[in-house]
Amino acid sequence: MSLVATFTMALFYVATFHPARLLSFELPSLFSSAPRGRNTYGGTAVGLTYGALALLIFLFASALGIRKKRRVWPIGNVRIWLRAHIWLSILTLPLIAFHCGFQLGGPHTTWLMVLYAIVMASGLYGLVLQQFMPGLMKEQLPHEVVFEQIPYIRQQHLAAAEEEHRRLMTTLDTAAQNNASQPVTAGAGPAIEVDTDPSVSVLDHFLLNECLPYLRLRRGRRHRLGSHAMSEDLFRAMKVQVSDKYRPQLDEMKRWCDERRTMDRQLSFQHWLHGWLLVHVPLSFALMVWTFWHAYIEIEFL
Amino acid sequence: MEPLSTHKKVVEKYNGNLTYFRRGHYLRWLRLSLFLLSVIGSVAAVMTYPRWGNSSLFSTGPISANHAGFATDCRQCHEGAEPDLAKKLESPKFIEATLHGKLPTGEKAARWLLQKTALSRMDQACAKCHDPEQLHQPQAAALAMRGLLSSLAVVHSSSCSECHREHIGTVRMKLPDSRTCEGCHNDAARLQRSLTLVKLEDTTPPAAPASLILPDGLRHFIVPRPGERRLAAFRSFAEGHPAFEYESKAVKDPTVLNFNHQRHGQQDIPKINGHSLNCTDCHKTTGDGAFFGRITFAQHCNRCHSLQVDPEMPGLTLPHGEPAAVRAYVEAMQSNMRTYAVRKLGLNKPDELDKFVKERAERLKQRGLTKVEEFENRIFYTGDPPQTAATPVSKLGKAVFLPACIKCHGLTPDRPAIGTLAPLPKVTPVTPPDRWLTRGPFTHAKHTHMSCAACHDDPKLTLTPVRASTRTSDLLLPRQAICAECHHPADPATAKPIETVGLKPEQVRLALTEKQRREGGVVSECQTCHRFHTLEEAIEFARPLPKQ
Repeated sequence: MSLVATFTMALFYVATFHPARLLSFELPSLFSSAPRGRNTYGGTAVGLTYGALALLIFLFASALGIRKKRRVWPIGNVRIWLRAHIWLSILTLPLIAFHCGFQLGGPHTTWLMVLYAIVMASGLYGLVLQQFMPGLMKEQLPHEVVFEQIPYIRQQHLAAAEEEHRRLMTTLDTAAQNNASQPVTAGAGPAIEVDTDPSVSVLDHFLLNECLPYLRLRRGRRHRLGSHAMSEDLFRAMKVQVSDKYRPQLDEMKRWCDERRTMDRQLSFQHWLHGWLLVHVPLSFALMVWTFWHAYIEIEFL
Repeated sequence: MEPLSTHKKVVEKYNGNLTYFRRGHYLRWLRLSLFLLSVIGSVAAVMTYPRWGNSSLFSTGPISANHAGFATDCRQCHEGAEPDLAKKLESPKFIEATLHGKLPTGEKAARWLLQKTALSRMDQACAKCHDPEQLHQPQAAALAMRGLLSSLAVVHSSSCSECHREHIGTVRMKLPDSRTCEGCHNDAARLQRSLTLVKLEDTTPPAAPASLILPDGLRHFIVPRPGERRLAAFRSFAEGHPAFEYESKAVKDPTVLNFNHQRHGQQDIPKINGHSLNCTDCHKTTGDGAFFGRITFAQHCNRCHSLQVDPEMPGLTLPHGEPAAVRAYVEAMQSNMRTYAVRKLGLNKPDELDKFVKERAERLKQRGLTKVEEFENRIFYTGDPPQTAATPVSKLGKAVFLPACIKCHGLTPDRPAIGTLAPLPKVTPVTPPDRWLTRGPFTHAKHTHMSCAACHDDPKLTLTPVRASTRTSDLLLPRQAICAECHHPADPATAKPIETVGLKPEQVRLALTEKQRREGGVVSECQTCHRFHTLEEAIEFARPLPKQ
């Protein structure tokens, strides 16, 4: 459909501005009665028609946001709207090219063209991302969480880690106090210490110096626990140093770090997946405003 | 990682934050902020445009030197244009139109928009300083010859700015080039739509090619034009340009004279100033070299075709032109001989003069010239000695000494009358055209590097090559195709410079001619020969033409 439309537009364009290249095609009199004038293409009947069509498509494309907000309106489902948004927007490429005659024109139209280029590039970029990112996320994020819950879950993990740290500190303090309260007998040799599991100290040290800083970081990708391989190595080494009694605590720490890493990746994916909209949507509406002004100016200066 | 496979675990995970969707996410806030920033910023930029920009913002290109005086005042040409949207919205006219629904809508709006593309408003602005010339007016030459045409082709141009393009550069506006003409002339349908043939009344178009004096005082070669002639579309001068009108087979040189170019190029023709007769011995350019002057008997023919009465009296020649003058000269022959003897031979004694005249008269008598009628018969019709079947025509002074007038000129009657002193014959005036190409500004001055033969003696592309022409009615003009050989864009890939080292000037000129004919490259713009607008005096004629 788009190809047919593009071909038709190209035919009218060539018939108007390069008639010698067409042997037998004749424009309808409505168009041929107003031949190209001045140093512009957009000011001709054909150019104006293309420009007006592009403006209508812009309007339709911008209505997608409203359609998404009003999902119950009986005006076709969002999927169809999205498809129309994409294909009609792509159709504006030849429309705009023929409207401006492959020229940038003055500063005003050049600025418009820059805006249009950014909007189209960001849109096409988003379109490409939408094609493979969902698959990638499904593959790399087996336990995707609700995106908006990520800060909350991160906070939960941090709180749990801090609680664990407190618990370990209490255990260590209790052990130290018990050691201090043992009576020392003269000539009986060295004092007998309370049998405290060194795993507690190792775990607390690891928690305090590795896990907690990692869980506190806003962006944990640069931390060594942010790397899956290094994290696995660290926890494997820890496993050797920690007694079986404290393995569950170590596993819990590993779960926090793994989930944190996964959420970081999900966050990154989400930024990739939706970040282009931060450029595409605002500039699309800016483009609308400038296009309306362009239309007004061109009609004034015709 | 422990799988989150159960709803319970999921709920446990999110428990305590189940109203998350009511709170805004930073990405949404960011998107909304950027959206508002861009829209409000854009609207603000549009509305406050006069504070930060000027009209050059909308210019599609720099203004030419022609209009540099008001380059920053767009309204000089774009009348009524108001780039400031805020100002426009505040204008009472716009408010009234908006409130009362007077803004054009639907088809009316579309028609209004299309009318604006016709550029008529821009033309009105041009007309403030320039003479309004709405038509692609007939060529000045056609207007000058309007008394000889049955109709005139008039084309309505759409706009001044269709050809005269502004916003191209700061230098002076270039005159429209061929591309602007091609817009219509490459398009047959468009040509047909825009062309109007205006029938001319009270004109007398010639039925046959004629040599007529036009208001410029010169004789022009006029070829009759078909009344309903419509121009066909073509690509360029070299591709499809119509043949010149004189290329039609029916077109002949109207000059009444018996002249044989072929004969004059033959080797047995006596040499002139030590060289064989060539074109420039007779055809001599005028002051600026653009055209050739008229050929006269006295200046050009007389050298070989002398009207000398007596072989032994060089200088005693008959007058050329009026038959009456010839008769008067013959009637006073003895007196003319006497004058000749005084002036040329220095005789001044009466008896010597009498003797001289008597001797020469006796010689004339021996040639059979005893009466005026006999003289006139030989001068006008038979030559001397009289031409018969036994004395074939020869102009080399062998058989015929004095050529008869009728040999070259049309006489009425065309044979001698019987009787004494019959009425003098009438000589048909010889009126060769001064200008052969009346439609375009052809000049020989720019073709001096070429030989005459290059255009006038080409076996294929000259209508009748000079060396093959035996009749005056032959047209010795080049076809359009021969002009197009040189006058077409050169292909830079195949164009080669000519080697001039060691060549004489004449050889360089020949080499240049060959190169141009082979490769082209000589200017071939439409405007080289044609003009879009007519001369000022012709506009007065063009104005009353009916509007279409």
